[in-house]
Amino acid sequence: MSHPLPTTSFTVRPDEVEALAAELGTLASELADDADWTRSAAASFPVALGGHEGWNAGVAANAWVRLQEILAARAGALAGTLSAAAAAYRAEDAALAGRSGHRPGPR
Amino acid sequence: MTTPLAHGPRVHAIAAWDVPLTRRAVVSLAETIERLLAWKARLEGVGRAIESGDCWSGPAAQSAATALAETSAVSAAVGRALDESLSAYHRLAAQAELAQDLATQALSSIRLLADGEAAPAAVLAEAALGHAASAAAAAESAGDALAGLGVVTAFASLGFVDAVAPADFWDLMGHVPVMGPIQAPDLPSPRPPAEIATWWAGLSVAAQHALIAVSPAAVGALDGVPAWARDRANRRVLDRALRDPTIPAAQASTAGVVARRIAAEEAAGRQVQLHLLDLAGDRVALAVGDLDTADAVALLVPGIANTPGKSLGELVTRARRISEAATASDAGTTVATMVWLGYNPPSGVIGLSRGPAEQGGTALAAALDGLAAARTATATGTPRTTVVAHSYGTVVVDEAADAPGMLDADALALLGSPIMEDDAASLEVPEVFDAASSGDPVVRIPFGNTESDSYGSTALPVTGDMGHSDYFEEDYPTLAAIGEVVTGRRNPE
Repeated sequence: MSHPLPTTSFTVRPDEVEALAAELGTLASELADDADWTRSAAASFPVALGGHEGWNAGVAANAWVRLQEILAARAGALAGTLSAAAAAYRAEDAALAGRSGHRPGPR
Repeated sequence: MTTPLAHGPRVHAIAAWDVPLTRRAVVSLAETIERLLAWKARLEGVGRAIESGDCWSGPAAQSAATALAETSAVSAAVGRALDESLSAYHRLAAQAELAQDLATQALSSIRLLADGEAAPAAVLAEAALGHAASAAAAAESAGDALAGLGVVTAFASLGFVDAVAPADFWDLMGHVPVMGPIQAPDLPSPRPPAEIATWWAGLSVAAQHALIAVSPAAVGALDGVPAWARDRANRRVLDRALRDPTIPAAQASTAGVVARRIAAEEAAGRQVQLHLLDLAGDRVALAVGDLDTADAVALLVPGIANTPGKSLGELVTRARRISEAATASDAGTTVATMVWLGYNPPSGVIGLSRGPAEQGGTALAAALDGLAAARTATATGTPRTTVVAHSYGTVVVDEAADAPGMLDADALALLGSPIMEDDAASLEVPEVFDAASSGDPVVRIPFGNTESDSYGSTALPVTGDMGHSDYFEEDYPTLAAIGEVVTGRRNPE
């Protein structure tokens, strides 16, 4: 099944979109690291306090971890989307160049 | 013989709590929130890059920009919930410390009062149990604070080590109202730029844009708000002014000058940011470059007889020359130079006083604080900041140093300055340079009582034939030296 091309115009600089994808990838990685840091803090509470105080504090901090992981995964997914978009634009351009009869020169 | 303490095992357990470990864990959580704010700001930077359409435009780009805005909104909601949760953790640590201290005292009392007199110990133990109960309540609150995001922790007492949390981003987003119309948040009451910067960084992109739309004049003047947002807000104010036939002629004229200057700079391919537009107060700050990301930032503070309507073109040219000189001194440094007319310079030398400088100094100090705070809150690196003050502008700097708190700059370049008060150390900035040509009569005007030889600043190169306005001319040696000061390539003596 094919989709009609949108009627609105578009512009793209794949290298710059790729750079934005890389930044999102870095953000995903950094927040995932931060989630590990929070996990370590969460583990401290039951050790430090014991009882239900430490237990509750640890469970809540583990929820922090989960929220961080979700945001990190989201940033990673967006990084993938942008990276795929840049690759798709490049591929489409290369295909159009091929159809117009251009042959790459000898390497 | 000792009298057994009621709830003895519990008091012993509280006395054994590792409060320092608890505090370290809470500090870790606090640092996590700080990093999340900076993370969100960088995410929003990606969103703005797409939204600008410079590198990507069209339906797919719009879709990506929307996805990033949604992610920002969810991040903001998470940040707010974590912040509330953190407050509970702080209470937990404080109550745990009190409980442990009292429990330890209670146990010591038992040992000391081995004659059967245990009443004081019982009182201490009772107090310890009370604070422990408060600590327990705080621990529960730390989890309850996340309930709005779909997190359930209420069963932790049953021995579960994990909360029930949203399964994924879409599940989490279902708990965050990001899709409906966004109501602009209230503007905060007057507060220091650092607090403004933190408040702004905690808003979702949608909330930030709503605020810019609803209160552009306020946002555009708010020290601590990032430059991109102030620029957008002030351009809205400018657009309205240009279309408003009822504003006073002088304001309309200044608005026209500002609009034409922006258009000219952008037509030449240069980025500009309208950092301040107060038409009624006749105050404007216009930057060449990106104040949010530049490695080096310079503020050009002009002296007498300068107004936005009359002088903006020439002042922007000077700012551009400073940036070019800085780039020439270090091609790897990105530079933004801002014409800062955030005060009303005296119109002439007759009746000259320190009054305008006193008003301007307070505003300049706040502007510098705001620039630094915005960069800190958005984790975009702290730029090297230089104030390049000319003529009476140096008196403004002197007054800014007298404002409460340290002047948030790395270097000062005082050009064609009248005789100043005190000495260079009183300006609160590590590096102070000055350029004073013997051909410049202003450098002999007393605006203080300090002999120039003993002022303590580092002299920049001049020639004897330089007049009062020649420090920015490319044919003279001072401009290149100013560029080196801006990038930190010129060492003070």
